[in-house]
Amino acid sequence: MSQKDRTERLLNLLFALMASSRPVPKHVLRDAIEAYKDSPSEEAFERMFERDKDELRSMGVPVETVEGADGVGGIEGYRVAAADYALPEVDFTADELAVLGLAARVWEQASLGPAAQRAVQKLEALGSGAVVDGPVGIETRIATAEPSFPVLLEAVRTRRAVRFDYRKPGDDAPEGREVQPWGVASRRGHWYLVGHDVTRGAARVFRLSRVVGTASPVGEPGAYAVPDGIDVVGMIAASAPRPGSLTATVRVVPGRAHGLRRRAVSTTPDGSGDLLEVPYSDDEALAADVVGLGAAAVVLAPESLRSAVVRRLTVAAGEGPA
Amino acid sequence: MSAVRRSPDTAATRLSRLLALVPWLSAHEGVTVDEAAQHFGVTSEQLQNDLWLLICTGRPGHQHGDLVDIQFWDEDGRITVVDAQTLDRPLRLSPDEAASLLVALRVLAQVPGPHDRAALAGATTKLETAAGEALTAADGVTVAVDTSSDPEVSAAVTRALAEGRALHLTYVGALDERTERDVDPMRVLTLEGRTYLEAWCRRAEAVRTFRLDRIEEAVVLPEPAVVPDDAAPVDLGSGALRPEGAPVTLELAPEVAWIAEEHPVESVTELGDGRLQVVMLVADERWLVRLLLRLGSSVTVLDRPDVVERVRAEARAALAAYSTSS
Repeated sequence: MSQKDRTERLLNLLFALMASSRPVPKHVLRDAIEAYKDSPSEEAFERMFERDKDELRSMGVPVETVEGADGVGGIEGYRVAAADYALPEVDFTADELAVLGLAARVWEQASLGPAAQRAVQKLEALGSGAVVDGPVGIETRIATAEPSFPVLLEAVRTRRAVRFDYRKPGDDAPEGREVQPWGVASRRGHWYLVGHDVTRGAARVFRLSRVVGTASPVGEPGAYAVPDGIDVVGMIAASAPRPGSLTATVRVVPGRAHGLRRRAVSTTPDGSGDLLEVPYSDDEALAADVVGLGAAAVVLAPESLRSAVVRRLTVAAGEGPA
Repeated sequence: MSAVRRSPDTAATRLSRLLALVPWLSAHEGVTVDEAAQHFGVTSEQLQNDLWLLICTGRPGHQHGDLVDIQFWDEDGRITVVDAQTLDRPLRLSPDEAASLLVALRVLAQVPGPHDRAALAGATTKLETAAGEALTAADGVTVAVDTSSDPEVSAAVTRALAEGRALHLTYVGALDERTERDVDPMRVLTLEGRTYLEAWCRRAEAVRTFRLDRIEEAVVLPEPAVVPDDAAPVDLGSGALRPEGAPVTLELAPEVAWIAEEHPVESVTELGDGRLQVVMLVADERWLVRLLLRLGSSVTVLDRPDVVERVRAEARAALAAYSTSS
């Protein structure tokens, strides 16, 4: 089947569904559309018809399924109501069209890029004008390299569980997870899935780049409800390490250690440098950051942090045991 | 708007175009085949094929009066829609289509920049109305942009761009050094959740990107911004800032395998037991030395003995401070 033939078949199906105000039974559609009439078997027709119906729906065509289309019950019929088919009339100003052009470019290289293109075509067909594709002093891009992104987006929308293999950095092997997705979110350039982990029986946050292969839907759509008032981004932020309740005293040289300076709760001039009070939670994590600064930062307290730094420096200098 | 990226012409993309084409042609009476082709980002030949396909379809029965009637064979190439059948209005947005634009508009609302806020709000409201039920798809996707930059810096950058004026920046780059420079702003870029100012840097005499959260101070200068004609804007093709520099091969122990997630890497090879070999592009050795100091013995440099030696020297110098300050 060529692309032209399939496009023509879909278009004729759409016309047939829109032409009648009453639901059209499947057998009537089979007789009305050339390509269906020519299908070699009932089974082949059914497969073709189901695929076409799904395709139209995924494009936004509201194909309704109606029970009892013959007036008696039992037979399924289909229809597309003209009122539901059409994009509501909206009239965009020239400035709004420029903003829409900017928005359409955001997904340029990402999985929703083609969808944005199609959306723009539809909006322009309303006739208020062309979406402007010109520079406006700002460009925003969202990347979606993760192959599971479209699957998860669909799963969130249709409330359908997904199954995937998940592997954290440093893990030997991936672990299978089953999750009821609540939302997909990007934070600091990384995509996350937030949902109810069925395997663990609790809410969990997953980083999409750690999904091995592609997630696949399981079970029926509409299988669960998303709890009210979910703060997806907040849950992701909460899953990241926190500043902590300990305080370190670090001496830094002038004009250096800007990252540490930003984290400090107080800065006091001290001879040729500054004394910083830095909140933290883990000796080893802060020691790594301080060692990264070389001679620009020296820990004065606490002693446990100081010795962690000295131990790391000794190893890095090639003078001690690894 | 011409297609930015030509997606393969599947039955679905073609049908989507056909359904938009008919109402668009109705709204643009007398447009030519070439103009329509350009608008939809296809060749004139493809557009004519689309029109031929359309006029062969219509209500079942395909009697006269059941078919789409579009005339496009006049010598001047002008198109007239005589009977659009039921296709006189564009199809409503699919969930993905609604989500694509709405999520993008919501991101633009978070980002500092000279874009028209009133138009942004207006377009968002109208689109939400037009999307109807498809709106729920947009609510399932959230994009949080880092907003930790100084509001005064954001305001100065926005004003400089809106008024076309130069900026004086106090900036702390990835190398932990504070620098002062005058720049001619070009664009605000938001990539991978971070916001940057793209500008012509008069000091470097080149286009540079400055992370907004690392600009300590931005002062709008009275003089106009003058970006040289040959200043090449950053290529946004990959959707991320591509690092430039020399490749360095590192072996990562499992506990630091996250490095391959946090920094752009050219390649990743699994060595077993959770160990990874990665190739990273490094623009400045000083940055790599700092990274290596930070990660300690969990990472091994495979192909740069000179860098290994520098790390040792830096560590020895830092250790000296502990023997004198205690």
